Amino acid sequence: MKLKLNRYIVSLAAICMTTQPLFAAVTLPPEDQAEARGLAIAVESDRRNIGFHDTESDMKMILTNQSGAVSTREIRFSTLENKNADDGDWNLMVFDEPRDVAGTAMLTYAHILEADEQWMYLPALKRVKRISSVNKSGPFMGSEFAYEDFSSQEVGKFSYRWLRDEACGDRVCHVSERKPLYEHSGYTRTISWVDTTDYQARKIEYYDRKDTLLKTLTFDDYRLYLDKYWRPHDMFMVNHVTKKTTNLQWTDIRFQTGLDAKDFSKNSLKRAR
Amino acid sequence: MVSTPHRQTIYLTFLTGLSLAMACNTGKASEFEFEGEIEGEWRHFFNEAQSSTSHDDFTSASALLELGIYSDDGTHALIAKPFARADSHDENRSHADLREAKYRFVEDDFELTLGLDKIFWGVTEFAHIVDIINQTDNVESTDGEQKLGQAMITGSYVTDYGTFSAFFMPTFRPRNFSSTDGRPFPGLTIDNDNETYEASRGEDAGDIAFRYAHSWSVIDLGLAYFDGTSRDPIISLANMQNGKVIPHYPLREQISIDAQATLGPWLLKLEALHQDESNETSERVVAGFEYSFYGIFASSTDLGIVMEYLWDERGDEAPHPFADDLGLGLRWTANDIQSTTLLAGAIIDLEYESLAISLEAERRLNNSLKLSLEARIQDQIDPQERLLYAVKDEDFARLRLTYYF
Repeated sequence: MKLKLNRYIVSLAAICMTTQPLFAAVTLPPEDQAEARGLAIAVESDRRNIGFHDTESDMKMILTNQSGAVSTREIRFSTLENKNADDGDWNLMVFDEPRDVAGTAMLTYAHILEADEQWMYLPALKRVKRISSVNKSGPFMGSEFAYEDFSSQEVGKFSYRWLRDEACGDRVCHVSERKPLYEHSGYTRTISWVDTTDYQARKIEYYDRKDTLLKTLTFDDYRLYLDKYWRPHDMFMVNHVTKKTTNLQWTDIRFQTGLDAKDFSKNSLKRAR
Repeated sequence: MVSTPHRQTIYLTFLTGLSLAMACNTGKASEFEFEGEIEGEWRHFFNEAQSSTSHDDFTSASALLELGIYSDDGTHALIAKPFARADSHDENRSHADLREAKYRFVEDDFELTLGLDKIFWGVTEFAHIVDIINQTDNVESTDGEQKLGQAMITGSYVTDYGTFSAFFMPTFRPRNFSSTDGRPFPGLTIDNDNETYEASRGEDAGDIAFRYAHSWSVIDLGLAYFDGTSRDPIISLANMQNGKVIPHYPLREQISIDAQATLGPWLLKLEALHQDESNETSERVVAGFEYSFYGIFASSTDLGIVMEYLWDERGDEAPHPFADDLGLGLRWTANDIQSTTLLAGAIIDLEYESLAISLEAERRLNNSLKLSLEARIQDQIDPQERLLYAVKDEDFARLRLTYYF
């Protein structure tokens, strides 16, 4: 999903920061050191997102089944960057559609390898419920996205191996394999195509627990914010087994709107609307 | 029904005036929101009614609106949620209630609300014993999950060491009961207008409550104190007047704990309280677990198991039938586009082996329409379980179609 910042290897990130001006050519480890090269690509993608502080955005989710029937969901997202280098970001989702779940909200404190902390607010009962975050591989809102596709993609959650560089559309991409290190993933591995100049993902292939190709996600319509932060506005997931698709359309992405920790508490979850 | 419309009206008028004054004072742009739901309902009772004037089938319609005005910076909010139902046969079930009508002020870590509101406390599924702020809207559903709006002034302060809240409730709302024509009918009619109180000031008792809540890693904890009129009335045949039972509301002081440990797929839950009511102290506990199997049988569906033990020191003297009971529940979630869910629950009395079963199914039909089916069945009810025995022939099914906008 949105490649969020992460500061997994603090020292490495620090070196990058001090020796390279932003968006300058990146020196990667040589091709015969595939793991180091794969990790460096992920770290560089991540580094380019450091300092965004907080974002708010609106998302429309368009679900299409095998016979072409369409249903939609609308969700608002708020994200707070975690200043702690060894921990994940905080995330608040509020559902607007379908209408029967309007007002339902989900608060997540992401961690790297430990289980995320997650609370759900059910407006009809006015109940805040702590929920299990084990269900990483389950479908999110009946879509082709799993919960883990939505959670923050911290560098330390995966191991990496660079495979090759190749053309991707009219661009050139680093192709790397990524294996989840956290528990309960539905994937054995993913293969990602990351642009060699802006270090943003253009395509991800997901392989299921039997290591067969399950889904492909493509990213489109990248736009630059604050002259620094790229965000895709269109994502398209195809499930090769069920032939169902899910299209995410992001609108009205706002950076640094003044959110802070108190906007991501159990108490503020009850006020989410 | 609102038993004291006059008092509630004065109170609301005062609040609305105060709120508008405060809201206008900010001089900032506001956002207006309007949404709601309309529901059609059909209930069928499987056995013939005990009362000759009652029926086996009930149709009903209800509406819940939500209106909100929010200041741009989120500091001020005015929120109203009026609810109304019309029932084909039960005059007491045809009722209206302001679920919420409040002004809310938030600044930094402080939150203040004034007006009618609804508060939920607790973690368990089969009973909500620590949840004491709101009165149960007893004609709405038999599970006690629907609540009447409660007038209150609430202050909350969020710190790094937890959230501290204080509640003052100037007026009390008695529980509403079905009419003689309504069902489920417990064999006797309860008077909705002439309740008695232990508190000398009656429904102006001025109840207070405090709560502390915090989360540490896998633990979520709540501690609460309540001092005021009990939400549970004493229903005694000794208190009859004109063929109706007069409910009595004693004073209660209560301390409670609710806690959950979230350990992977395990949710370990505890609610416990100590209460002092009519100079008699007693304890109540609900404790158990929820375990979820995700992606069962290589599908994308989930199965959750809930098991809880319900205990009340008062045993047969408790004003509810769950003094030594085991709750067992299965929740199946299809994770499909329609968010189909099935819920089967059973409460088994460990002493008398009585069985209360509930089945619930839900499915979204389109972006704004949902269908829900529910059945409540009782079996092997022992005559000594007097509260359940009174409604042992009141098994029913309920079908609801809800339109959201």
